[in-house]
Formats: sequence, C-alpha cells, structure tokens
Amino acid sequence: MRKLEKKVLAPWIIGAFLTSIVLTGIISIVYSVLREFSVVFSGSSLIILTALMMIYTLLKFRAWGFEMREDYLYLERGVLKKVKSKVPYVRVQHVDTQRGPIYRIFGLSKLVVYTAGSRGADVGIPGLLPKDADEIQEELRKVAVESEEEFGDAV
Amino acid sequence: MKLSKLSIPYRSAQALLTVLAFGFFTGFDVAQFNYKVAAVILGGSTVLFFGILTWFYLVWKNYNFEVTEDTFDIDSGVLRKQVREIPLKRIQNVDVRRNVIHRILGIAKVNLETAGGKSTEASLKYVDFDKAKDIQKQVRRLKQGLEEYENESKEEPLFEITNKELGILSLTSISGKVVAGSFALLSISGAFFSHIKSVIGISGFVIAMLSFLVVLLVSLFGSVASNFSRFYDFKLFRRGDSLEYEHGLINRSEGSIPLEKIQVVSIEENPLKRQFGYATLKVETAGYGPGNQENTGAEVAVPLAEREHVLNLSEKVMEHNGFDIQSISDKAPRRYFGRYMIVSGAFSTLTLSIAQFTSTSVNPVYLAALVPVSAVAGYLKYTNKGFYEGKKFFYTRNGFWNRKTSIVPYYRIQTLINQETIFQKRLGLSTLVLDTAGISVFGSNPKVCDLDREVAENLFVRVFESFRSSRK
Repeated sequence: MRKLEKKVLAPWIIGAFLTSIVLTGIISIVYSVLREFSVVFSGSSLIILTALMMIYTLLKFRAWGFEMREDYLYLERGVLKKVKSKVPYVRVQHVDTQRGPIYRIFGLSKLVVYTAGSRGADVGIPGLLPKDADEIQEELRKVAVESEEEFGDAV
Repeated sequence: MKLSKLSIPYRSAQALLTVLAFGFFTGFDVAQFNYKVAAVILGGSTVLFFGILTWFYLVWKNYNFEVTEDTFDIDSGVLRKQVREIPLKRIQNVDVRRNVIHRILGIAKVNLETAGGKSTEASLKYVDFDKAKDIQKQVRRLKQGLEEYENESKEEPLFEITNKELGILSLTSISGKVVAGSFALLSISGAFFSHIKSVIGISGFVIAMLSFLVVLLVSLFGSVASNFSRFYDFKLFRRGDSLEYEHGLINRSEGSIPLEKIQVVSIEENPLKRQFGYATLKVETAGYGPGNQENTGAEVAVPLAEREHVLNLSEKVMEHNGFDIQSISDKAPRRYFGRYMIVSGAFSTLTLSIAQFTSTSVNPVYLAALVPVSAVAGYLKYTNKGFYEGKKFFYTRNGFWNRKTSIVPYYRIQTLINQETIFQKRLGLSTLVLDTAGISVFGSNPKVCDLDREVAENLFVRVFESFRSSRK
C-alpha cells in the first residue's frame, strides 16, 4: 500500500491549527457572553483543541493509502469513517492534477480521478509530489484507455 | 421548417395577459376609475397588443428549424441571431406536449430533451400538431436507422393503468406541490380574515381551525385531481431499444427511455402500498447534457400496479430473474434502537427544559413511552433493509416509509465502496455502497447498511469480481 508524502502533514497541520483558532474564537465568544472573558479558558481550549486536531491529523495521515492494482485503483482513508473504494480503470473518465497556492509552497500536488458516478469527484489523492502525481496521472490515463478498448464505453 | 402561424396570435395573447395581469395588480386603483381612465387603458392595451403582435411576428419570421441527417438545426433571434446545431445523438427524447387550448388550436409544444427527459435542450413554441408528430418520428428514425424503426412498430403496451389502479393512486399519493399551493392560498386569504372577524365576530381560534380544515380539504382534493389528471390513461410500451410512455388527461405527455441508458431500476412501496400489495416501478437513467454536465434522474415507469405485476415488469425491463432478499446483520437493530434512543433522549431533554422554562408540568411517564417506540422503530428499520446477490444483478433494499428495492446490474457499477464508521466498528459492522451513474431524488446510491464485517468484506470482493466478469 502506497502512503502519502510526509510533507502533506505541513499544510494539514496549518489547516488544523487555523481550525482550532476559529473554534476557540467561537467558544470564547459564547463563554464571554455567558460568564465573562477569561484568558485561562480561551488559552486552555486552544491548547486542547490544537492537540486533538493534531492527533486527528496524524491518524488521518496514517489511515490514507492507495494502490494501483490489476484492473482497479484501490483507496483507503478516513478516521471516524473508514472508507475503502475500488475504482475500476474502465470507469475513469479523466484525471486531474491540482496545485493550490499552499500546496505549491510545499511542493505538493493533488490527484483527482473522475468517474461518471455520482460520487466521482470524491476520489482524490492529496499530498503527492508533483512528479509522482504526473506519473500516476499518465499511468491511469494509459490503463483507462487500454481497458476501454478492451471492454467498451465508460457508462 | 417554420413554426405554426397560430403561434403568433397565441403567444401575443399570452404575453398581453401577463402584462395586463401585472399592471392590474400593481397600479390599478378602483377609486379613480372613470371613462377617461378606461379609454386610456383600452387604447394603451391596443397599442401594446399590436406591438406585441409585431414582435411575435418577427420572432416567427426569424425562427427556422431543420432536421438534418445527424443534427437538429435551429436558427432564431430577432435582435441577436442564434444558430444552434444539436447533435441527434444527444437528443434522447422528442416530447410533444399540448394543453387544452393547444388541442383546440391544433398546435403543440415540442421539447427536445436530453438525458432521459430531465433537461430541455430546446423548446419549439409552437408547431402544428401533425408537424410535431412528424418531427418526433423523423428524429427517432434518424437516431435508430430507418429500417430498424419501420420494423419495430409499437408492441402491445407492457403496462396500462386500470381504473382501479388510477383510483387508488389518486387517493393515496399526496403531491407536495398542491399542499404548498394551498398554503400559499391560505396566506393570501389570511388577509381577509381580519375583515371576516370584524363582520361576524368569531374567535381567532375558530378561524384558524376552519382555515386549516379548508386547506386540508383543498389540498386533498387538489392532490387527488392532480394525480388523476397526471396519470390518466398511463401506458408503457416497448419499441426497439427504448421504453415509451404516455400519460395525462389535460396535458398529455409522451416520452421514451433508451434501455441502454438505464442504470438502476427500483421498486418502491410505502407502508400503505405494502399493506394492499401494490408497488411503483422507477428507472434511473444517465445521460449527458450541455457542457459535459451529467444529467440524471429517476422516472416513473409504472406509477402503481399490483406487486407481482411490477416484479414481472421489472424482470421484462432488466431481464433479471427475481430476488430473495436476505437480511442484514442481526446486530443492526441494536444500533438503530440506540440511535432512536439518542434522538428520544434529546427530545426529552428539550421537552423538559421547555416545561421548566414555561413552568408547565410534563409527566415523565409519557416520555418513557419513547423507549418501546424506539425499539419498534429500530426493529422495523432493520426488517426493511436487505440485499440479494444475484448472478447478473445486485439487489439492495432500504427504508420503511418508502421501501426501495434497487436492482443494480453489475456492469453499471462505477465505484465500489466499503465503509465503516466508529459507531459501526464497535459492533463489527460495515456498509457496502454501489456507486452508479444514476442518482435518485435524494442522491443516495444503492447501499447495504450494517452488514457483519466478514460478510461485507466478502461481498466487497465478490461484487467486484461479478462486475469484472459482467464486462467481458
């Protein structure tokens, strides 16, 4: 099973930290309305939330894995909801690589596989090196075309 | 080809009525009404009418369409010219619609639809009825190839609604639109209630009850009438590689569903229908609309028929061999009971805190009744779920209020998903989802919830195996 690049933890941790700041802000406002503003309360909730988010991020990283198998792409992910998917190559309609500004800073790339299915856009692999992403994209494109020649159309 | 000449006066009258209705509601004041005003309104309307008439003449003059060998071309536009070529391949259906006035005038609206009749690519307003039929035939013929079409005359209807079925259907299904409509009516009439009150002097409560009753009756009656009119003389045929249907009393609509686009067929039964042994058959299709956007939707193939008959029809449409639904894990009811108990707990807390707040008293014994209710609800949820692994098809069943049995051909699977939430993990349960290109109304895929983990794992492998061999 192939894992994501360790580097992806950097943007994820930044995201997790920002989320806990926002959540702390909301909790603090509620708390100050009910009681009064307290530095200790806000500070400790920020620490607890950040710690929880960090653990979650690490678990998320550990849960992620994918593999290109014989005739399908296999993905495994999710902490609270563990999801395993099989995407047959013959169903792949197109493959995108996406690089947002933050991903670019860390030299990362995201691969998105589209099928005609209603959940198609769900199949995305975050945190790959750009050259790996391009490689997998190329490979998927190749196998998709091959299997289509073998079995016919994609719907 | 041109649109019908009658479309000019018809559309002008339509537009004029809209304008007048708008003007009537916004600016008309009865107090200032006199002959001068009347003359101005009359004169204004006349000028307006001729203006509109000229406009729609120009619209008609500039509107040309033609069916070529592989496209449907439409040139239109008075101020801004538009040339459209719609590939015949993309047109799934030529839909001919007529309301009462159209029938009197002998015209029809022709909709060129893509993706199983869910999105309209172009609408021809309005064409002589005979011409509309010709267009419909021509497009179908070109799509299928001439000879094939000639050979495949309509067979005997696969299904034809009987009066009894139509009656039951009209009486049992309440259409949401009608209910919404009557509530809108209520809010408008609400304005008059203050007058009534000052005139007759009855209390607000009585008025509220009365208006509620009126709404209920109006929506029930409207619902019955609307369903009756919609499904009147429903017929389903098979012609070549498509299913064709026609239905309706006031608006007669026709359409076709290409068999090759069908993703999933489902049998739906609500508790009432189950009690009396009736069911509904729906098909979900996939197609491609403009801009590569996927258009999907479920269409009613049989609005209501006896269960056995519906099963037979589903077998004819999908060529499957029936099913014998197996139940999911026997640990599932515990989970559902727990889930309902959490909801009940939240509800009790809310009730008690409201009681505290408003200083009314609630007897906690009533809340205790939620325990057996949750148990029964959890058990019912469990008994109405299931699956069956067929040779060429996989069957899933879900839902108590609208029990839906989906028939999924293995070769329609897009992605196979096996998932497990932390709540399921505790009980060793997993859910299997079969993603297809068809989406039902609420966007839920056929799935089997809460299977024992090993069963789910085995199915995860075997269903994929069946998918693989179905494509060879």
